[in-house]
Parts: sequence; C-alpha cells; structure tokens
Amino acid sequence: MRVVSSGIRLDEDSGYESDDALLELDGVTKYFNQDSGLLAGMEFEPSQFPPISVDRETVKAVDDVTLEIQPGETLGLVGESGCGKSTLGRTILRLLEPTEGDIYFKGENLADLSGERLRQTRSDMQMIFQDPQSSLDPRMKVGQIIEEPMRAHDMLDDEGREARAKELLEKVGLDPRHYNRHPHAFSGGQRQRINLARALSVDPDFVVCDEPVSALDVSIQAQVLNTMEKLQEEFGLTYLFIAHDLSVIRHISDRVAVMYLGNIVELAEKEELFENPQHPYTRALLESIPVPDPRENGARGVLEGEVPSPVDPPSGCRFRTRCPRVIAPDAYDWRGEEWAQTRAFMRAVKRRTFEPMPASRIETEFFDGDLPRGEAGSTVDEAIELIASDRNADIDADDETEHWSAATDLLLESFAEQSICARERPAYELEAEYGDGEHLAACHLHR
Amino acid sequence: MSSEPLLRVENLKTQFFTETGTVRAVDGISFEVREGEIVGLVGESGAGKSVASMSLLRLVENPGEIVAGEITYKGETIFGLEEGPDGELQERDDMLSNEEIRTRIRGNEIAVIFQDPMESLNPVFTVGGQLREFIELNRGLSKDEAKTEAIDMLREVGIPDPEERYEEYPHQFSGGMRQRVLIAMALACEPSLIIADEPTTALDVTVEGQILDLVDDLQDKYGTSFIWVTHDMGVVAEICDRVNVMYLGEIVEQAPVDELFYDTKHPYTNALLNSIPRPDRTVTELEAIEGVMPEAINPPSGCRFHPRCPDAREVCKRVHPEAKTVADADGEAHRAACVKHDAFDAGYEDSSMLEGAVGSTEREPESELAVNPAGDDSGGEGRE
Repeated sequence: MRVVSSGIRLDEDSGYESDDALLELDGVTKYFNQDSGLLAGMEFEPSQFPPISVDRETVKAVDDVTLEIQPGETLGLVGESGCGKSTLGRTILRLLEPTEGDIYFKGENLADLSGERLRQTRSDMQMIFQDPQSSLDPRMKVGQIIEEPMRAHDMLDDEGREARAKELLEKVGLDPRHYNRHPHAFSGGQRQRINLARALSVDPDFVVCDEPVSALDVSIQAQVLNTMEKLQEEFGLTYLFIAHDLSVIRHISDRVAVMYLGNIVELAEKEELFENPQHPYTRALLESIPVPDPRENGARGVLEGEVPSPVDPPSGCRFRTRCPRVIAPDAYDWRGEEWAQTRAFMRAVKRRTFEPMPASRIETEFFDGDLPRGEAGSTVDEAIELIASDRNADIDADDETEHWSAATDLLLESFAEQSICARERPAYELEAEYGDGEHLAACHLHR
Repeated sequence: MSSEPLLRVENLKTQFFTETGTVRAVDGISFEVREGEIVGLVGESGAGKSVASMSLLRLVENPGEIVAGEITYKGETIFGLEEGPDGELQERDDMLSNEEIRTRIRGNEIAVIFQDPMESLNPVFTVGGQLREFIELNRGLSKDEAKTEAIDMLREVGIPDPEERYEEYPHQFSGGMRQRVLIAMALACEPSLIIADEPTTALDVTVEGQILDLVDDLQDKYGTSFIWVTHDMGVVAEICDRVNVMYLGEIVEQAPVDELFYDTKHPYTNALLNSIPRPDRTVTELEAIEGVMPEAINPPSGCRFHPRCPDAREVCKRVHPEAKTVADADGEAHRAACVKHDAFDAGYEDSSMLEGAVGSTEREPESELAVNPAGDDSGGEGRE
C-alpha cells in the first residue's frame, strides 16, 4: 500500500533510478490470424483427400522489433497507417499478447508476469488514445473517470482520490471545479486533457501515447503538446509517442523510430534522423510532407505504388518493392542507366500502368530504344514479347491478363528477387553526424 | 486582373436556425476565384469553411439557409437577393432555378471532392459503374461511350489496370485510390471549378503527396480552378495561389500565398503559423493560441478574435473590423480585418491594453453597434 506524499508524485521512490533502459524490446513480433471463429480458414478442396484443409493466413503486423527506451526520454514512433505502430504500442503494454519476443520493463520480463503481478505493473504503464471522444465513458463524470484507475489499483481513500483528481485537473490545465461535469461538456482538446489526467492518476513512469493530438485542431494541438511536455518534466515521465505526423514527432521526440510494414527501418536521435536520413523510406516520407513555407519549393519526392499487404510482406527489405534505390542484382553486368530503366519497366509491368503497345514503342519509352546488353537484355526482350500489342494481336482479355502476369513473374524472378535487397534482411549501425547517439538504418545501401 | 473573375462571392451569409438560436456559420464573406488558380480557404474546424463552400452550390440544407449575399459564376447569378415590393427580401429573377443548378452547374461547371472518399462512393455499386453513370447523366453519352470515357478517366488519375478495376467495389480500393476515383469523377465533365473540401486530410503523407502531384498535373492540363478547403498550412503553402483565412465565419485575411506567410497582416494568421510544429526545423517552444474558438451562435463583440488575440486592445472589443486592403502585393490586394492597421483609423494606437483578454472566458454580449469608421478601401499602407 502506498502512502500519500506531499507532492503530486504518490511515491517519490517509484521513479526508475537505474542507468539501464526503462523498457527493452527484444525481437517483439505480433501476428494476427486473419479470421476468427470455428470454421475460419477452412477450405474445401474436393480434388484431394481429406477434402478439407485448414489454411490460416496471418497478418504480420509487427515483425521482430528490437529497441530500448531510456528513462525520461520521448521516443517518437512514426509510420503510415497500417505499418503496425499502434499494434506495437499495445503489445508493449501487453494489451496484446506478443507472438514472439521479450519485453523488459525496469529489467523485468513482462512475459513472465501474470495475474496480480502484471496488474500491479500496469499502474506504472499507461496509455492515451487517439480519439478523445470514444475513450471517455459518456455516462461517467470527469471526477469518476480520473479516479477509476486509482480505485482499480486500490490507491488512496475516497477523499484522497478526490483531492488527487482535482489536483490533476489543475495540472493538465482544466478547472478543478469541473470535477462533476460529464465529458460531453468539454471540447476535443479538453477531453484529451482529461485522458492525460486519467493516465497520470496512478502515477505511471511510462505512457504510450497513441496519436494523442491527431484528432485536434492545429491551435489546440500546440496547447496539448505543450501540456504534455510540461507534465513529462514534472512527473518524470517516459513517453512512447506514436504519430503519423512528422512535424509533431520532430517537435516532441528525443529519438525517433520509423516503422514500415511491421519493421523498424530507421532509428536515430531526432536531429540526426531529420537532417541526415539514411533510409530511402525515411527520405521519401520527409520529402512528401508539405512544408508550411511557400518559398520552399523542393521537389516532392513521391513514392510509387502502395504499401504491400502485411499478410505476405516482401522478403528481405520490406520497402524494396517501392524503393527508388533498389540495388542492382550482381548477376548481371549493368551499364549506365540500364538498371534504372529495367527497374522502371519492371514496376510499370507489375502495376500495369501503361496500355499494350508495339514492342518498338515499349523499347523507346522505357529504354530509349536501347535494351540492356547480355542476359539482362534478353530477359527484358522476352518480357516485351509477352505484352507487346503487335506480338499478341488477337488474344482475348483473359489471355492478355495471363501474359501480363507471366511477364511480371519473369521480370521479378530474374531481377527483383536477385537483388540483395530481396535476399537479406538489412540492419546496419551507422556513424551519427548530429549528436553522438546510435543511428540504425535497415538498408543495404550501407553495407 | 481586370477581367471578370470566374466566381465572385460578395457578402455571403449562411445561417442555421436552430432551437438554441441562430448560428451565423458564414457571416459576410467576399472573395473571388479567377481562371486557372487555386484559392485556399483555411481555418480550424468550425470556422465555416465547409458551409461556405457548400453555399456556393446552394447545397445548404435545412435548418441552414443563405440569408444574404451574391454569388456570381461566369456572369450567371447562382444566388442573389433583391428587395421585393413589400420590402421583404426575395430571390432575384436572374437567379438560376434549382433545376438549372442541378443540371447545368453541379458537376458540369462546378464539381466537388469531399474529404471522406468512402462515404462519397456507394459501397454496393462498382466503382466503374458509378463513374459511368455520372458521365452518362451529365454529358449525355451512351452507355458504351460513357464506359470508355470512365476507363480513360481512371487511367488519367493514375489508377493502374483501369479495365480490371472498373469492375471492383469501393472497399477493394485503398483510401488514396478512392480519392483518385473522386478526382476522376470531379474531372469527368471538365468543370471550370472544383471545390476540394479537405481532400487529403484523411490520407497518409506519402499518398497525400501523390494526390497533390496529380492535382498539379491535371491543373496544368485542364486549367481548372480550385477552391481548396483545408486546415493544413503545409498544403496551402504547397499548392495555393491565393489564400483566404477564415475565423468564426469571417475571412480575416486575404492575400497571395507568399505574402500570407512572409508578410502576415492578421494576428490570427500569425498565431496559427506560430502554433504549428515544423517538419523542416526543430521548434523547441510552440506558441499555442490560448483558449478555443467560441461558438458561432454567440460570437464575441467587436473583433471576433479579440478574446484570444495577443495584440488585442480595448478598441478591439468595440469595433468590428471589416476586411480592408492593408497592403499591395504586386497589384494584388492584401486584405486583413484587424484594426491595428492604419487603414482602419480606429484609434488602436491610443487604445489601452486589454486586461486579461487572452484566455479570459468572460465575453461581452453581442453588440449591435459595430462601429465601423469610414475609411477608404484603396489607400492605407500596411503597418509594418
């Protein structure tokens, strides 16, 4: 049982005083079964015996993530929707059971904890959700909402809880007199402050903030961000700050991890990551944010295509299917622009971005009329034969589709799959140019 | 500049008559859109951006109503009022009928792209079918011709393998792809003006980049004008030519994009720019705007921004500033609605500082006497 201390911190000693990381993830992996239910994934195939097979597809939401979070820091976790950042946040809190890997909090392996011990540890780890509307029970009063976690963890007595709730309301920038109001009486920004107060009520050391400001207006965003920073200092909090907005991440983080399709592709201190990005995906992300400055007319680095399905992610580097800098396969002898042209052609065929046209036009359009030499050239030629309109004059639509996919397979097998990017999963540690922290980049360009 | 603009909006007022009172969602805004330009309509949620843009197509529904103002598009009156014989305001004779608006203007002349592509597409019809029907009805083409046209449009907006995807349903498209379909739909009738209501807000940054690029390309090709409704200053800087900043139903600043960012004339715009974190540099301290935007049902007296304004003085509580030209930017007017500029001559300099204005919650009751000193619109240099 804890004792009330004079300050807002319930227990001055609860702070983590070690030099070690507050939180360590080691190869954390989370797969989801795509279907649930008794008959899910069952397939009926009359041609074989037994005629029923079970084929469960798994969504590889988070795959082998290793990182550390130091006490008192803010680690920004950024990525596009569907990259697994929220899943990672929930897995850390063990709201989701990790499929594989270990999570150490204050040196203790969370996977070994269960029941009462896990519940107690949870008072040290809290979460703030994106939607300030749906994360508050509309039928409860603000005071009850903030006191609920304390009651769940059996902290303080009724009076103590009320006093603390009022104190917290003031700390997060709300009027303590609003203790008896319902959430609907508050604006979005104020509701997010109530969420903050609730998370802080049990005096946690670590807070996972899942897109806490993305639902708020810009001017309100700044207020909430400032409050979060103030509270971090006052309470000695450690944040895992999940967001898709790089500007917000740049403002609030100490270190930043960039996530793509379940993997961390780059991890570095904030200045280093924004000023000296080393992964092509990070670069593309940074280039595509619109800068609020009309004189900044840098070319928009636009990524081709879309994020592949996490059910069947690309081998090796997961970004390779969209990467503008995929490494040329060593098996061929490339000259000048040949690899760049072949790569562009390969992706155009795969995505079918052009209409069937005569072979000669394909050659001019993609290769300036000059096919690559040697083996590479003959493979390209073979692919062109399959799709050129003058070679396949009278085939119907189904056959045409088949030809295109044959050409796609041929090109992918001969080129994309041969590249080191497809064969090995990259992970490299680099020298940081800004600051002295470590800089991890998962890209073979740094081999 | 002398030529007639494509669209001119003058003193537009749209109000919602609710049980708790009249919500003055759009309260006397004026702006114009010229051929081939992208005009930004910027503001926080609740500023009246969407209501303003929907008013342009007379798509405001009960209990909302356009109560005043004039909207002229290519010389035709989309909305206009005049005083009738009994002194009541009535719709002018030359105002287009609902029928004409529906058949000639919406879709054909002015198209809209909405924020949420999932809600704009019908989930039980194929994407291609919806696009085809739209083209068929609006352009009077036969079914087959419309289908060819639809496939062409899908290809035009960068949807790979359009013949295959023509047969697919909206849920089989990703968010970015669905937004492309809506752009295709908007472009299908080659309108002269497209109203884009936060079209990239729901999208990821890399997809947003792709869509902005697409809009750039298409605008070069078709010369379409855009009204771009957004809250994102980054997007504004990237694509807009001229910008209108809205606050609580009013346009508080109107300027070419470069002037807006580099020679900001209204404290609200300034505060907005200072409150956003930057992707291109590290900002250690964010200057948040105090308080929240009041509700349009009972706006503050005088300047509507004064309770949150860092520059507010006593006069701001009394005087309601109408936007005036405060500077000249290469022949373009730079208008702002703030009495601190000389053009207003409201005695701002001599007025006393407002005690506890910033962050204070108390508000004066709505004043009927909006002092509006006569000052000439043409003169007046910007107070630097």
